[in-house]
Amino acid sequence: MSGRASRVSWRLIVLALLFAGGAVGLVGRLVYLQILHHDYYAQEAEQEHLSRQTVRPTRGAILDRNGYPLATTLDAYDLYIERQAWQNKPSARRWAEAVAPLVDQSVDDILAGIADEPSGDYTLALGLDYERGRSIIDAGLPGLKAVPSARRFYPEGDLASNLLGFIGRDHVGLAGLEADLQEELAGTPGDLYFERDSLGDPIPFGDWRGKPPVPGGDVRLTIDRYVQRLVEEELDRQIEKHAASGGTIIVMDPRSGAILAMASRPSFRLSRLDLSGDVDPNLFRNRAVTDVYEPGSVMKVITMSGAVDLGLVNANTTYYDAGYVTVGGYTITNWDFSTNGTQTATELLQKSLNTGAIWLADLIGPDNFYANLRRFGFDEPSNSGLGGEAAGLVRSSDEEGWYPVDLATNSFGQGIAATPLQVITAVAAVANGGKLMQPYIVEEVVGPQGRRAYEPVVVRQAISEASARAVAQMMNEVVEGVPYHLARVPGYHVAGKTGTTIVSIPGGYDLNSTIASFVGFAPAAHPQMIMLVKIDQPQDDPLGGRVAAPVFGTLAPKILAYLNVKPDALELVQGGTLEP
Amino acid sequence: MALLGLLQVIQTSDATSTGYAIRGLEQQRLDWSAKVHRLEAEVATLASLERVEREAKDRLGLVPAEKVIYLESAVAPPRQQLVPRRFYVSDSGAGETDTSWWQALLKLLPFY
Repeated sequence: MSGRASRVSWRLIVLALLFAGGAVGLVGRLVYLQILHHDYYAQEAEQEHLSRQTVRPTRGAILDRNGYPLATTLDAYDLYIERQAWQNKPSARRWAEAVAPLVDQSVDDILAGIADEPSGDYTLALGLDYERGRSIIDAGLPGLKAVPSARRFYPEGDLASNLLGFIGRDHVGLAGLEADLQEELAGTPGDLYFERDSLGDPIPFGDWRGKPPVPGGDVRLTIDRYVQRLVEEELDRQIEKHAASGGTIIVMDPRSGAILAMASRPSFRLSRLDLSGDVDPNLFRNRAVTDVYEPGSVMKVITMSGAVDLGLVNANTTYYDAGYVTVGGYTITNWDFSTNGTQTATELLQKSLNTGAIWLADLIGPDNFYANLRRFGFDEPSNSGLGGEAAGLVRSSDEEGWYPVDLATNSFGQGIAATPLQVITAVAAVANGGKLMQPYIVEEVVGPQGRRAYEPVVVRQAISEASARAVAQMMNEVVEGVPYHLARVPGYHVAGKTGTTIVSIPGGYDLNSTIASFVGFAPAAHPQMIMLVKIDQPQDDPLGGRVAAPVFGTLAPKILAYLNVKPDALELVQGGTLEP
Repeated sequence: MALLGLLQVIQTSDATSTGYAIRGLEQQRLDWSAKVHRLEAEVATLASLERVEREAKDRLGLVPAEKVIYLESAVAPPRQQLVPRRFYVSDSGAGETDTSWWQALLKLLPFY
């Protein structure tokens, strides 16, 4: 009997070995999965259970100088349909009929778009307004994906289109101030990590980590919406009246360089912007800062300023106008082919005599002449902060390709190129006691980090205060000393200068095409407003005095009254009422 | 034991329901936020120059001025301009640095 009790069956041993082997295998597998490949499977689990979401920040608003919004942001949704979920045609038609009115599309268009490809997502709507988006989401349609988004809204419509610019679908500025101020407006996206359920929704009280988005700052411009609107309407009217190819009007405070209005044509309409089709990118640029032109006779103000500042001439200094000057084998006449005999420096400006400008340039000399141009900011960007700003073109006497005749033509604004902003900034220095101010368009940025205000910057003293006063007085004589000058403004003393330039083309000039311009400021003694008017290629009349100057005469009274600038040229009449 | 188990189930269920309620309230908050943004935009549109001109011409019968007469008065002008105060640019210091333009707009409505 003891022999049978100690015998262990081989079957039992095999079974035990099998169990032991299985246990070892199990433990080994657990070690493999949970220890050796812990990180890999932990990451897989995290990806399965955790979602990451980028939270878009609210884009800042762009305001005019008085706080009226020019561009704001509205909440919206981008909606997509998973094609695979809409394969059942009767159901798809039913669902399409439910959403079609909310997305302003026809049922057939939606169904055709879904049937267009076998798989993937169909874009149902982009930037759909929030309420309609919520209605569609709450309908619980299968396969519908909704991404919170935003869209830009312009309360003033198309006002300042090429100044404001626009953003793309990714809410990044693509043109204009939206691009130039992208960093200030965009804000910082937030990140969100959360545990999600099988439907992708966050699990309540689950793991939740992240940082909130930082909204973009609101940017207040120096632009005044009322002045901007006046300027744009008048520019459109004048371009139509003269069948011009385009134009620019800039209004500025000469004391600070603050830009009150800036309008250019051709332009585009913000309210009808569609980048999906063929677009002309030339419409998007702000021609006031990107496009250069030859300033023409407006440049005589700068030439005169240089001569006065050097003490070479004063308002009554005379020269003899023979009607033409010969320089380097070239004969240059006055613009009207007139011969005027003895003329004062003031009359030189009044009659816009090319021969007089050449006389001044000869007095100044090439080195001082080009140094004077640079002191007034030509041949360098004005650093307004606006994107795409051109520096202009000035070929000075020490550069290759310069000839003595260039000094002559440059003296009356041909053969050099400048942007409209450079020209008005330079003349504004004459209005501002000789101080060249840096033009600027952003008044302040208000954001989560606080408030940043921008102060006027004096670039340099271009000419002395006395010289500036003298030239301003001469410019006043240009407007008030010429009978029936079309830039006169009742009640105000105005200083200004016209310009008529022939358009440069490759290889020379188009003698049948001009740019008509006028730069003026008021009140002449203590200027508070300066305006540049430039009309490109007017078809009915080429002259700045007849095309551009009247625009100043129309706009200036309205702008000066709006700015509460007290008239300085009034006569007291009976009854205590002052009438200009 | 069974009671303890039941208590645990009730608590978990309660927490989950509360969590979903919180999500619902967060969605409501987003909805109201979107509504506020839309109303701000509506305020801006109502104050737009185009609408002001349309109302002035169509409803009030105003016309552009043809003649300007300047009157000189010995009385000092009012210290504040007679425009809606909500459009004033803030000149204050640190106290209002965090107020954005729409908060400034809403603050000065009589019922806000």
